[in-house]
Amino acid sequence: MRPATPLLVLTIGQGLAGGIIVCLAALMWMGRLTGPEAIVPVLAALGTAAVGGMGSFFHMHNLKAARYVMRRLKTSWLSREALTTAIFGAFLAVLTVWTLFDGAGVSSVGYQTLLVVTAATGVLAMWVTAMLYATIPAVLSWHTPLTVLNLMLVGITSGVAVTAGWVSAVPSLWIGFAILLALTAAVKLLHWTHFLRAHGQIRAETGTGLPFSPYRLQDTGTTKPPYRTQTQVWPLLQPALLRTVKLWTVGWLFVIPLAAVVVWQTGAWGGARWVLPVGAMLGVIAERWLFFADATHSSRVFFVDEPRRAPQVPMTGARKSM
Amino acid sequence: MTEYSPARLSKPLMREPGAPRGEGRLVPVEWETALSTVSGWLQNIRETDPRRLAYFTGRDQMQAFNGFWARQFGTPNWAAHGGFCSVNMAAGGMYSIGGSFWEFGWPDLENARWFMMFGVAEDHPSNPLKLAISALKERGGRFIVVNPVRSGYGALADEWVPIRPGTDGAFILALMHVLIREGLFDEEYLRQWTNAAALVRCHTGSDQDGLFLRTEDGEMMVALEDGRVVPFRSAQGQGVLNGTVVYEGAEWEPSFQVLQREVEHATPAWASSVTGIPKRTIVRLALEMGKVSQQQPLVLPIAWTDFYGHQHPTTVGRPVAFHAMRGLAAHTNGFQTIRGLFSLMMLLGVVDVPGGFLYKSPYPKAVPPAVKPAPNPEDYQPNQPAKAPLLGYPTSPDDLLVDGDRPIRIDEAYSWKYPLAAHGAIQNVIANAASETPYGIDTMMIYMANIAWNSTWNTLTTRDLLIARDEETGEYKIPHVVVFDAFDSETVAYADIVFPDTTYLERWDATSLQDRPISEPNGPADSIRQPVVPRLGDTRPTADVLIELANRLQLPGFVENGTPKYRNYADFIHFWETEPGSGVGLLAGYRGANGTEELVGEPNPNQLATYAEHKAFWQHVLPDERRYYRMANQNYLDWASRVKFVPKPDPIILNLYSEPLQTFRLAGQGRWPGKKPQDAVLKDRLSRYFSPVAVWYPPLEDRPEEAEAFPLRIITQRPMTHYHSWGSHNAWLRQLLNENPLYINPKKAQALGLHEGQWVWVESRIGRMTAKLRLSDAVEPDTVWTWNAIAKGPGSWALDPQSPEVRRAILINHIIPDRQAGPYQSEYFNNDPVTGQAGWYDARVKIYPSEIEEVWPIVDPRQPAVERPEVSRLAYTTKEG
Amino acid sequence: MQLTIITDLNKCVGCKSCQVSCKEHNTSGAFGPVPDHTPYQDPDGMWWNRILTMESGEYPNTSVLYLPKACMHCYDAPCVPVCPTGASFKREDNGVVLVDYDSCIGCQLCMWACPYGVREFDEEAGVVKKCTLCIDRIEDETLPEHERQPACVQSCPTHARTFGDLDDPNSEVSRLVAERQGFGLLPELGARPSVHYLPRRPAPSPLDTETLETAMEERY
Ligand SMILES: Nc1nc2c(c(=O)[nH]1)N[C@H]1C(S)=C(S)[C@@H](COP(=O)(O)OP(=O)(O)OC[C@H]3O[C@@H](n4cnc5c(=O)[nH]c(N)nc54)[C@H](O)[C@@H]3O)O[C@H]1N2
Ligand SMILES: Nc1nc2c(c(=O)[nH]1)N[C@H]1C(S)=C(S)[C@@H](COP(=O)(O)OP(=O)(O)OC[C@H]3O[C@@H](n4cnc5c(=O)[nH]c(N)nc54)[C@H](O)[C@@H]3O)O[C@H]1N2
Ligand code: SF4
Ligand code: SF4
Ligand code: SF4
Ligand code: SF4
Ligand code: SF4
Ligand SMILES: [Mo]
Repeated sequence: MRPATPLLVLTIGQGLAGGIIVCLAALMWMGRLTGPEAIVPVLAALGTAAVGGMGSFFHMHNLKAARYVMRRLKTSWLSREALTTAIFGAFLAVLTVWTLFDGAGVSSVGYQTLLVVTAATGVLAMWVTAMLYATIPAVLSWHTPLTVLNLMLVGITSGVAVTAGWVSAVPSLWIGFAILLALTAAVKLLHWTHFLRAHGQIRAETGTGLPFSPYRLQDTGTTKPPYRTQTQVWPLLQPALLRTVKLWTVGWLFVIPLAAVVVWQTGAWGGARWVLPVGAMLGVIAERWLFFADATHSSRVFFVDEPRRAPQVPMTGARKSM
Repeated sequence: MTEYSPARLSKPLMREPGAPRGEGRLVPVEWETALSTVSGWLQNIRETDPRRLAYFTGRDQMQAFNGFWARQFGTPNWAAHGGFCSVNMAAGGMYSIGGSFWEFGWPDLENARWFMMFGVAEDHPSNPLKLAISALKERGGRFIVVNPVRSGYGALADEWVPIRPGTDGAFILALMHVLIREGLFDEEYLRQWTNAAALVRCHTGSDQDGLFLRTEDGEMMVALEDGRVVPFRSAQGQGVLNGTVVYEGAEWEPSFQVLQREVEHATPAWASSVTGIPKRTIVRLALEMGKVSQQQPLVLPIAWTDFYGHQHPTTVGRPVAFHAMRGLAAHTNGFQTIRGLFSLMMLLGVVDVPGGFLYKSPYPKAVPPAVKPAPNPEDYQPNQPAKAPLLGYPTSPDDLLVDGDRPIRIDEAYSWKYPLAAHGAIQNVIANAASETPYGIDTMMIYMANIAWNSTWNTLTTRDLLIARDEETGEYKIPHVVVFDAFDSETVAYADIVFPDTTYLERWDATSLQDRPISEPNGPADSIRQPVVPRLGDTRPTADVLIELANRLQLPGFVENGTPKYRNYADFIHFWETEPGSGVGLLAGYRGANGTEELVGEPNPNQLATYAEHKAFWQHVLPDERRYYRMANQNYLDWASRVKFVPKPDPIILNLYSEPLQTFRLAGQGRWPGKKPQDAVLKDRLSRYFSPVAVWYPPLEDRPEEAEAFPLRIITQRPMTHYHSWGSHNAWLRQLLNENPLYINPKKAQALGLHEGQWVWVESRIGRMTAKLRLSDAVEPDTVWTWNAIAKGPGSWALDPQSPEVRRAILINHIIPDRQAGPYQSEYFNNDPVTGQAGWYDARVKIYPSEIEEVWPIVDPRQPAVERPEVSRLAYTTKEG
Repeated sequence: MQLTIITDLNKCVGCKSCQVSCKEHNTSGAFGPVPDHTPYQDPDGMWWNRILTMESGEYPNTSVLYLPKACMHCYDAPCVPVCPTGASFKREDNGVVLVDYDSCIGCQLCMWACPYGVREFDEEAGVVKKCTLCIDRIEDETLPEHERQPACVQSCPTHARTFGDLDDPNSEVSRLVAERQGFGLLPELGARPSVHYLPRRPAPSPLDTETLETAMEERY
């Protein structure tokens, strides 16, 4: 699938925001959250959620029709996503205001309730978004419960890592953090295995009615890239690129944060703490890019899989209607 | 869409003063300037030496008009595009059955049960062929495709018979071998309708060797069972096919026996080694076609009468049909291969019978048709029209256009080199004109042919020849080049003057029975084109321009007593007749003053309007009793001579054996009383290739030297979506196909250590180019292929020079040899030695990895003659905004 | 009623007439335009019907197949429930799946949901477009009856395409599907496409092997 920037921004942003709030709620529950410490993470959550929201907004290409977007709550996960994301955003906004203007209120029942409810809406929003992806049979790579686990866990992990930059309790709970990382990593690896299987799952014989292999799609015409109007097709990644991005993901999202926590714990380098948010961001971008770029759509069987190439000529210029 | 092409030319253009030719530096001029300049050149030529005009045309539908124009001008140097197209198919058929495939005849797929198609990717009447194949499939008919590549129609085949290019002749001979051996052929048909029983002299070394035994008035003689020798017609179809007869002291044998001897050594095992087709497949296919044709006749309740006077209560058909096109034609052994195919069809008795092959009107004609060009130098004099039509069918060496060994025509058509060049040899013109072989010319006019690119070979050299200059004078070897084109093609860049044509949507035009008929087997048909959109810019129909030039030059036939007869082509369509008062003109429908007559009748001044009222179309449906066995159907022949399809209602005897070919062979052996060549190579070619019965010899590129060094054959196919070079300026068509990989069999690729997507050098004996490989199991291992004419030169066709057609598409014409291999290569073009057909599909190559990963060569960019549009989004809509 | 198109793969020669005539009709039709990008440079554009060229099997037992692919007008069209605005809908009266450009937000989720990759995105209009089964033709009562057919069906030179109601057991399309073992693509994805294809139907050799064996043994 072609990785669309708005969707990267949306899913990363939403996951991060949700993750941060979930993390804060957990800390609160453990009694390890202080008011002033919460300010930056809450702001960050609001920021990323807002950016994510903007992303989703700009993924709509016909804004005139935006008002219809919740018309199909009954069937469409996207309608539901619009709703749950909005609800989460609203709670997050109130939470932010409360956190900013009533710094000491962390211990108040009202604040605590709000935090828990916001975290719950965040989780709900993440779940709905994940379900949107997981329920499309045509995208074979995503059509698995692993997608839900993956998106939610990566969201939470990234949120926790970002929170760690400001809330010192997080690194000190490093065992918990390590367990979370391991869990997420395990899901991610499983998901990747599923992706690999998905590649092999498109069946030319059922896609074309030809009874015997090997198959070859021979067209050099409108079934070859650049597919500017076919956003669901995106040529197979070159193996070297795939390997590199996977390594990058594993490194920044799992290995380096873990190492950073350990280093920080040993007190060898205080700055290690800041590696967490930065690393998580780099890792999650790579992870999410792969989530799209490496995903297999069933229609790939109908398109010539040539390596991508940039258009050879400028795409700007006049527009002509006749 | 093509209407909106940004590549359309809209003004006459003239080469910028002082600018070199070939760079596309052209400036717009007024029509009057262009017309007076060209008529000045032409006037001068016509007054001094009309041969110094060479007028060659490409894919047009105006050959009757253009041929008439050139004849009235007085030059022998005119031809349409048949030389580089499919003259082998036309001539092979005309010298066999007085018709052919293509516009001349057609497989009867409505009735056939078994259909074999050789070497067709698209064909001329391509939509009708698609319909016909679909009808055959609907009925469950069996469809066999013989082709090195499986694609298009071949995809639907019930059996694909991959064959090595250029070897079909061997396959066909082997089929005949089996059929004769198994007795699965139609003896009656051969005796009655072909010259198989006609007696030929068998005496090697005699002047009469291989010529027919004839009566005083020229009728062939045959032997009867009882030993009597009688004229062909009096034998009533009872002539014997075997044995030897002594008559008037000499030995004679039925011509069938000559063929039989030829196919005797063509065993399936031998053919298998030549073609790559398993022996078993050859035998099986022969048995299939033999059994279906001979044992499952198709009998229609249609009574008819033959020229012997026999009445047949029914019409017996044989439901085995064949079709073939350039896959057979575009080889230097194509003429004989196609003769072989028609021989096979005669053997099976499937010519003009239900379920077999059917002629399209006005065919059948005599074998060959009785039209010949004027053969002497004196026939082409200043200020005189040529003495005869410029193209036709020689029947003996005496008909050749030679002065001793020297050709009369600039393209060497009808010379000893290419004696039966019935369509001329456009592909020879540029090189000959530039090297003044056999003489220099003054002006070359090119209409509707992209000869500086996809219809040329050894393209880079040919382009150089177009700009070659005389070393002493510094003048161009070809002093003037005039191009009639509608688009900014590669060839436009080489023009001194460009006349911008209209497209067919903007002009009156006729698809005439005099030209390339659109008739169906059930009767003659023709049609017109009419202007349906306003003319773009300052364009004019080429025919109108030629009439204007003819009027200015006061050409006879165009101007009478100082008064022009035709203002424009519409007038010409209305009023021109083949001979004054003949009643036969370009269009056969709605003739006579009131438009009530058909085929023959006075010109009708409202003819085009009447066609327009009838959906631009006219058709005459033959009554059933005239629809089959037309070469022998007396009722048909009487009618055909009344409507002037044939001069006399004589039977048309099919030529299983070709006496005209034998006369050339005799000339080669020095035993022809009339014209004969002196040069040893010329003599050898005639003796070798002019076999009177079908033979197979390896394509001329297959000398052991080349075959070893260049083990693969390279061929092209037409894409269904593109018409030669025309599709690439169409915004939609170019999306369907804009780059062309080189397809190779995976096993071959593996053997050569090559892989999918790899860039390779493709080297022929004249040069090399790069290509990107694509593996395909649908190609025979000794062949590589790609699509025809997709690549474009930078600066042409209003395309961005970075376009895929320029950067990622390949043109194999660069490496197709223009000259024959071997010691005489500079003197002979890579043409069929019989007809002069360009041997496109004989080219051999070797393939090895390339260090560069891009298309090479790419020619230097030229200056575009039109403005290139910079459009990011194109949306055709009838809605507002 | 479920209107649909059946393509006979035993007749399709891959000429792409249906592809071009689809664009021709629809670009200026009710659901157009069907735009092109950089048409005279590196071209790309929207096509609602794309013809595939497939090859399978190993030489010399190679099979070549052309597959015209447009919207399958699925019975359980997965593109419909995912649409947040209801812009993608399936007509109840005739089963045609359409997009209402006025309420489409251009989120492209339906493009993901469609297993066949037949929906295309018009960046400028910001909406998703696709084959309409030429709804503006088949319902145009000003057209003579025999012209109320999809453009691609009418233009096919081999008559490989047939248009009709698959829910009517007596229709030509139902008959073809039943008699010729019509199949839909990617059935495992559960969209239940109404568009069907008729498989190849090879005509066998009329020769019995015994005759051939005897000839081979005795004479060749
Ligand atoms: N769409 C489209 N239609 C066209 C044209 C076009 O450019 N585009 N051009 C028109 C013109 S000018 C012409 S001449 C006709 C030509 O129509 P075709 O004769 O169909 O033209 P080609 O594409 O040359 O097809 C030649 C076929 O022969 C096969 N072949 C090559 N060598 C051999 C061989 O030795 N033996 C056998 N058995 N097969 C062989 C090739 O693989 C190919 O399939 O088409 C006309 N129609
Ligand atoms: N490698 C390879 N080469 C081949 C072939 C092959 O199979 N393989 N096929 C050969 C064959 S069979 C043929 S027939 C030739 C064809 O070769 P050409 O006859 O050169 O064919 P086109 O490319 O169609 O070029 C025709 C020219 O006509 C122009 N034109 C188009 N419409 C009009 C019009 O309305 N009026 C005028 N005045 N001009 C117009 C175009 O712009 C173009 O410049 O190619 C031959 N070349
Ligand atoms: S291009 Fe024109 S003439 Fe040729 S098959 Fe198509 S419709 Fe007929
Ligand atoms: S792109 Fe339009 S039609 Fe498709 S799901 Fe989104 S709103 Fe619906
Ligand atoms: S083919 Fe695709 S777009 Fe058409 S109805 Fe089925 S899912 Fe929807
Ligand atoms: S039915 Fe109409 S819109 Fe659909 S593919 Fe055919 S021509 Fe195109
Ligand atoms: S028009 Fe007919 S033959 Fe041509 S590609 Fe389409 S379905 Fe196939
Ligand atoms: Mo041609």
